[in-house]
Amino acid sequence: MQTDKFITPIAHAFSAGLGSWGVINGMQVVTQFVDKDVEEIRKELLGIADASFLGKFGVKGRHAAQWLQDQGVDIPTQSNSWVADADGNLVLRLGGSEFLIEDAPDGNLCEKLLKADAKRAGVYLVPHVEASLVLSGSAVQELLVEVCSIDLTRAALGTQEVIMTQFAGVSVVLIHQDLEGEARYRVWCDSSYGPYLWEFMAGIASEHSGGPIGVGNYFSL
Amino acid sequence: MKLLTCPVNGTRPLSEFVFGGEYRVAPPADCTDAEWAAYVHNRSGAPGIKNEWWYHAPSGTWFIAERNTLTDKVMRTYLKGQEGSK
Repeated sequence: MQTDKFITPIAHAFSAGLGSWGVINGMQVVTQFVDKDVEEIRKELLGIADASFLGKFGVKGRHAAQWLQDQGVDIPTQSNSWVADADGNLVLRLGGSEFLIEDAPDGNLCEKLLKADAKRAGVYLVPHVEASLVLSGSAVQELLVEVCSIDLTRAALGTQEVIMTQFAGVSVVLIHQDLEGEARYRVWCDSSYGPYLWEFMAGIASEHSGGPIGVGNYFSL
Repeated sequence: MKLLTCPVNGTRPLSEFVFGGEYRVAPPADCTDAEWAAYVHNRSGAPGIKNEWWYHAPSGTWFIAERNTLTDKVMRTYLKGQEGSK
């Protein structure tokens, strides 16, 4: 569990007095941007939400895969792919020997891994404080073609593929996830670029009658 | 749009890559001063097929591209140590 001194890395993109703030997993985030009914409409068209509060854990090295398996973590067998465990925790394999793990909203896998003994040759912990976003809606492809040069349609992406590319000049990690019958894109970027990318994508979303919504629209909190 | 193929991440726009200079093999540690000076200071600017370092920025992947610098055609790309894989 994080301490409550943290604030979402996207905070600089939010004007004073915007929406309702709350603390989730020890991080101050905007829990609601506009009226609930309006947020639901935005979500259907093109919703963007901040999920940076989810716990993250990183490890790399030639023995990182074995170390994770020793901790009981199911890992993707292929490079640049991801899996979700029964609790909803995400395990992304970035390249061949690096892993990014993100907790489900009520998960504590990252906390367990941080406490595990990782002092082993070929196992190196990687701190992760990325800005983490959720995108969805009928016009999400319109947004993606505006910010990225490669084909990110469902047909082009494998079901479990991890894509490392650039959105509006910012390096991002992206996956496509079907959750609760809904297609979502998850995007991670360096936290220092979080406000820029948020403003950029939220602006495009607004052009399509969508916009920022509270992350509670995507996760049960 | 120019494209380049990262051996790990696939074909991407050139804007995702950073050029890292020509791939050259350093002379042995017991080389002469003249050999070392030539390695440090001299470059061949003549166009032709060259091996070059390229970096895929979003994933942090360094790889080598075999490129004809006259025609700008990339023959192949590969990870260092996997020259024979493609």
